Amino acid sequence: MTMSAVEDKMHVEENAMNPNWAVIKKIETETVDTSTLWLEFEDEEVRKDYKYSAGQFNMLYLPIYGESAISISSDPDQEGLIGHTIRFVGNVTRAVSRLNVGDRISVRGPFGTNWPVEESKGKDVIIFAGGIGLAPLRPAIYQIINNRKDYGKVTIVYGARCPSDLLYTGEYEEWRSHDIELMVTVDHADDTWDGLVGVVPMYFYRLRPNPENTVLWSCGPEIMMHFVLYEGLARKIPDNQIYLSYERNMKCGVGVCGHCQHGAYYICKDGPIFTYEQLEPYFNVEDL
Amino acid sequence: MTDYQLSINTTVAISKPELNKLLDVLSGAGYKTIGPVAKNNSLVYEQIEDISDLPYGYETDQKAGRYRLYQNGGSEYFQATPGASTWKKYLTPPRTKLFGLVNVDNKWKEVPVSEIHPKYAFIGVRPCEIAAIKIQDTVLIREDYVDTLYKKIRDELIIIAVNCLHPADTCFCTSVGGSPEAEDGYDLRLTELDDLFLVNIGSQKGIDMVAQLEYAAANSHSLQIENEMMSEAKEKIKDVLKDYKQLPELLMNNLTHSAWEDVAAKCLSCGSCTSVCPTCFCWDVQDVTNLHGTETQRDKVWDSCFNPTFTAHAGGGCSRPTTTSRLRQRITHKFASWVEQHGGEGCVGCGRCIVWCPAKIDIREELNILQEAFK
Amino acid sequence: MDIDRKLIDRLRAVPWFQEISLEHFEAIAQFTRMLDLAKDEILFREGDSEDYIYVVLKGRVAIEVNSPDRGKLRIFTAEALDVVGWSAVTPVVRQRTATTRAVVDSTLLSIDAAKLQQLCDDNCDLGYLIMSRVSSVIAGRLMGARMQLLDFYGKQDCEE
Repeated sequence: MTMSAVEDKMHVEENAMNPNWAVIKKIETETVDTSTLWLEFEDEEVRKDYKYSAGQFNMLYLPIYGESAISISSDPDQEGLIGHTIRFVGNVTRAVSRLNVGDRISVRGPFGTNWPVEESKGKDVIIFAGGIGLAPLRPAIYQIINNRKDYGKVTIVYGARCPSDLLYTGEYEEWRSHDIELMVTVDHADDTWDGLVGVVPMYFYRLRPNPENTVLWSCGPEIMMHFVLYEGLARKIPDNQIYLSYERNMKCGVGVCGHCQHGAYYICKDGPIFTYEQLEPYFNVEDL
Repeated sequence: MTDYQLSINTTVAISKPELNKLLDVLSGAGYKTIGPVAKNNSLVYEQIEDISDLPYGYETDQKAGRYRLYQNGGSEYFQATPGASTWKKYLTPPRTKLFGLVNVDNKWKEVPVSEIHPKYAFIGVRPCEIAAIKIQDTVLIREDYVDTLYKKIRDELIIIAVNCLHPADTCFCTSVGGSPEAEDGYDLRLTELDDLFLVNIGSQKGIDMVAQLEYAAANSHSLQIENEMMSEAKEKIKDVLKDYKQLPELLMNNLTHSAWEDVAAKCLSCGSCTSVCPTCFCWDVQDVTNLHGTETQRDKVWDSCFNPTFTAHAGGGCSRPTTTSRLRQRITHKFASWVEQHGGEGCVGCGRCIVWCPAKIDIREELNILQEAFK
Repeated sequence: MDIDRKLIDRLRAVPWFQEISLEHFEAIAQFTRMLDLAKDEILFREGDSEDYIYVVLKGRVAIEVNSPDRGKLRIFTAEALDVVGWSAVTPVVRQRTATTRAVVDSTLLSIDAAKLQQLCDDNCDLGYLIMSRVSSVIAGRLMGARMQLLDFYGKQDCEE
């Protein structure tokens, strides 16, 4: 006569987890393991209502393979296709790498906090990006360019492991033409590379920031961001003007599945972009 | 039946067999009645149809890493302390289907699935378990997020609470702000005396239910006995956990202290504590797929912060590779970060994590060791 | 000897030399000269003796190590105001352990290392200043080398 709920017919839940289909309209190959997928929502209402901010991410879901958090890399001020630059390293993203133009993928989002693009008007902006970390910063770079006169000095230091790993190489000249100082460096190079060799955080010593009027934004491997942070702090940039984009195992995107907790934060909801002031209590706590 | 005016907070008395009538009233109204059942040497929450399904005459013996259920020849239905089973398996089932998909001509189509949301009536909910449900409410029904399934089940839920007259050695509700006496959050609250149940009414639904029973006004003698028994129960709970209000600051300010290694030394990282915990809510999402890859369904399943995959990264590795880091996550979440996230602790002092820990880890002792070390 | 004022101005513009007195600049200028390198021209080669320490004024020079099986590996690029060849002023003088090549047309200051060391020996205050600056350059390079070793980009960000 007894019957447990586990044996009951399974419940169906209608909520934020449901799929939201989009079609791949364009694929740009960036590097040997990274491409940008340009998506359009199938549903016209969704397409119209979808708004996002620079630095936010979506959960891309491919049936059978699962879901993966991917930051949005297109211009939030532009209507139309939504860009996702994806590095193919996990089960889900490797399956995504096999998709073609015309294929469908589900998109949930946008989730998370954004770069303080509005709040930083009137200030000098220093951006340190490493590897795929340039992807979530590109929307912010576009927005700065859209309103370039509203910002002071804008400097981008971008690095990757080797020249062939650099993203968006076709856009550098355009960025530079908007009075943006862009330094591009690689960790490893042979003699065909005429640019800078050296790790990203090291180039801080070439900058002479006016700390009170500078915001520092960084995204890249966590160790890289830590060294960028140390350089920023050494130059007296205030804790609440340093923004880092963190990443953990995001699953639900709405701070309820528990996976991406970092201290009291849910990275998916309270982050991914935090000020150092917010992160400081948990900073350098191993395996938090 | 009397002309007695029933209202919220009225206490009446019913005979013990009258509980059967209550079960009938509930099932007659379409509720699935769930209560404690003695099964496989433990107490589990399952569907009950008759009071003979309840663990009549059973009591339990429990301490760290030990739970024994046995007949004591007594005459109480609710003497035995609950086992590993929690109500959360009905409120947030271990596996929930989010949606199904079928591949038709290379296009994934959503499969409509008929919705089944049983209306539940929980019989014999302990005060600490009510506290746990209230905590889950704050996590799953928020301004910025609502777990729709949880809310539907919760909105229809009827809670028949039972005051805790025989707290176990592993109980510590009073250490975390609770009490063996349920104060609110129920439709009806039972106190089991020798030959009757005192029934306190907690809601309009409760009034409607009692109105259909044979009841009498609770006499002062019974109420006095109830009072005495509650006082005894409160005294029986060892208030061993010190200063829990200081824990958030203390724990978060000492995340790198070596004492974490000491408390984690015994931990097996098995996740028993999280599965039996009535407030743990973490879940994973999985695709369950047929062999041809033409059909799949997205399932929400319970997860545990002790699982190695919980913090897994795509390129390999995970954020919390050690047992110490996982135990620290569980303890700091329950007693510190939960307060910041949800406005209160994530622990109700039910003691399940102590009883069901195969390594006999007692969270109260661990917290005291940490407090001592961090001073 | 005539003092090359232009050279002194160049020296004073190098942040690395800040706080040095005019008198000492004049002394340093005695054994400093400007050097123009055309693109791809070699400044020094692995195995050369360590005669000079350089400050890049304009352009970009790459420090390379040749590996027989991997070709020329660029381990650092020096740009304006970066120091190259600092090991020439450390007490143990070896030989050059890397090759330095101009990546674009470049201008450098070359300072006679032995004479600079002698000047530092004779003037302890100046010596302290110069050696603190050299140690700062070394610390920066070491930090950079460490980070290169960490190989940040080895592991990808989180995903299912």
